[in-house]
Amino acid sequence: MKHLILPGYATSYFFYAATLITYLLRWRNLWQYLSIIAVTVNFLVLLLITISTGYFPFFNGFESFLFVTFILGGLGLLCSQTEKHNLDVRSWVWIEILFLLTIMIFFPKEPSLYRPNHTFLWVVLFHGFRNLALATLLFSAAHFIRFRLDPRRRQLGNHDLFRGRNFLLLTTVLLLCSEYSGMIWCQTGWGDFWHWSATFFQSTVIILCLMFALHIPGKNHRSDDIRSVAGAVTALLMLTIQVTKGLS
Amino acid sequence: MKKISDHLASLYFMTIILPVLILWFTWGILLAQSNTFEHEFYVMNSTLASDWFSRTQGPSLVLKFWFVGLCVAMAILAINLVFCSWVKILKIIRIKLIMNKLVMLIIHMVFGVVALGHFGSFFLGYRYENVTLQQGQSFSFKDGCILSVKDVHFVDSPQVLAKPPKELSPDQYHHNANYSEVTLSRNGKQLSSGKLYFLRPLTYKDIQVTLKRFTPPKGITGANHALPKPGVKLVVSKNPVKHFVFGIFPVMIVGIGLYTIMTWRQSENKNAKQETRM
Repeated sequence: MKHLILPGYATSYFFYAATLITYLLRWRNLWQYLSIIAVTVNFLVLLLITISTGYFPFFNGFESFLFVTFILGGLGLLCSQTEKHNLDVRSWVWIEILFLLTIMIFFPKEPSLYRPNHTFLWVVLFHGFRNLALATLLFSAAHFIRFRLDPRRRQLGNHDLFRGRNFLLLTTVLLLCSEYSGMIWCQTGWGDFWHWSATFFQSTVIILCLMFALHIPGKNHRSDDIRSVAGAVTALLMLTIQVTKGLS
Repeated sequence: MKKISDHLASLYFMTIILPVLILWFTWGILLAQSNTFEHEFYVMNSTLASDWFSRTQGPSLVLKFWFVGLCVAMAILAINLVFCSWVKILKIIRIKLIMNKLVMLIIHMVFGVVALGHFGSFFLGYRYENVTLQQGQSFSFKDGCILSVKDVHFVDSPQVLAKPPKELSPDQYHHNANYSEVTLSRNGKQLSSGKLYFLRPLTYKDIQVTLKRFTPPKGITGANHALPKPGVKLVVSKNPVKHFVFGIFPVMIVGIGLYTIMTWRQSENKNAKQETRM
């Protein structure tokens, strides 16, 4: 069954790319069908990995990014709207998914190797929540990018900025759930809930960046601009950390 | 005086400290990944911060400076948190009780307590890393406690212990079947006993005995067919604030979740200007 993973990934890539093109061309019905197919194929590949390995597809770079694209695709379909503006939030979501799938070219397209802790509840929750947090953070970033690139943002309301802020808060909740699970994992595996290591520092940096993005003072346009940049940069930072981890 | 306290409570002050902390941790990442400081971080994880810091032949000046700088930055953040919370408490008492503001205040206070709990865990209790024992051996530590290994039950071939864990398949290594039986005693009186599995430690009050890994029997590299039993590498730790931190952390998560729900519609409906900061 594992030999189907690579064709599944390629098919998913194709349908997401076709979704973006037809979406930008505003072929209303077609992009909707294509996006549903893309998300479904993405889900089937994840299911294939889960069935063939016996554990959730959260652990190596390839499977975790595939999980992130699935959640992001679902959010793009269900939680965003099509606007008149060509590069709206939904189109940024499809662009982000394609970006992730392109990064995945550099990863071995295979499930993670067996580790005894892959079925340990807190390890599964740690990775699962972390991947969910990355997906919601990227969704939030799509709102911030859309807001920041709109030249009329100062005249129009900042609906996108607030939605971005909402998903940024949701990311904080998910990331803290991941950290809490990680603390329990660390406590049971190494006898302490904190370690002086690069991995722990990376998680702390992400949390501090989220704190920074949520604490920008001021109620003026300049503050909104900084807020949107800080939110988008946090997403980029978390993505960079995950890619580096996946490739190491 | 009021001007100073306003300054210390301000969000502007916080937006200066947070990037400093981000840069400080980024420097920490670079230090932790460099070969020069690899061993020093290992030592840092093996003992409590107080023991590590007071060692005469211990950490290098760079790592000491990094650690002190981190503590100072966190202390400044704590000052900001205390002043900011106090201003918010006064506002709530004097002006109006707004539910989401109250939730946010509680989240901030809990965050402070969680950070304090983390800080406390660096200095309170004790920690013994890599306690390597064979069957029948004992290890005595603080509080007059003695840890004894009664049995090492290893069902797989001990040869697999010479391999890196990443190369082991489920058929070669059965982590649910391999365990070590230990007892914890004080003054000849048994306090606790049990089986130690991978990711299933033995706990007695605040004391935790964790099985880190099995160690290969001596002579495994040679052509010795009658191999003795493997040994165990254990971590003995006592963290008096552990339960407190694990208990209070979910309060912070639930609080932020609650705040997110309470302000979700509010911020979506009010399309105009609104406060987005926490």
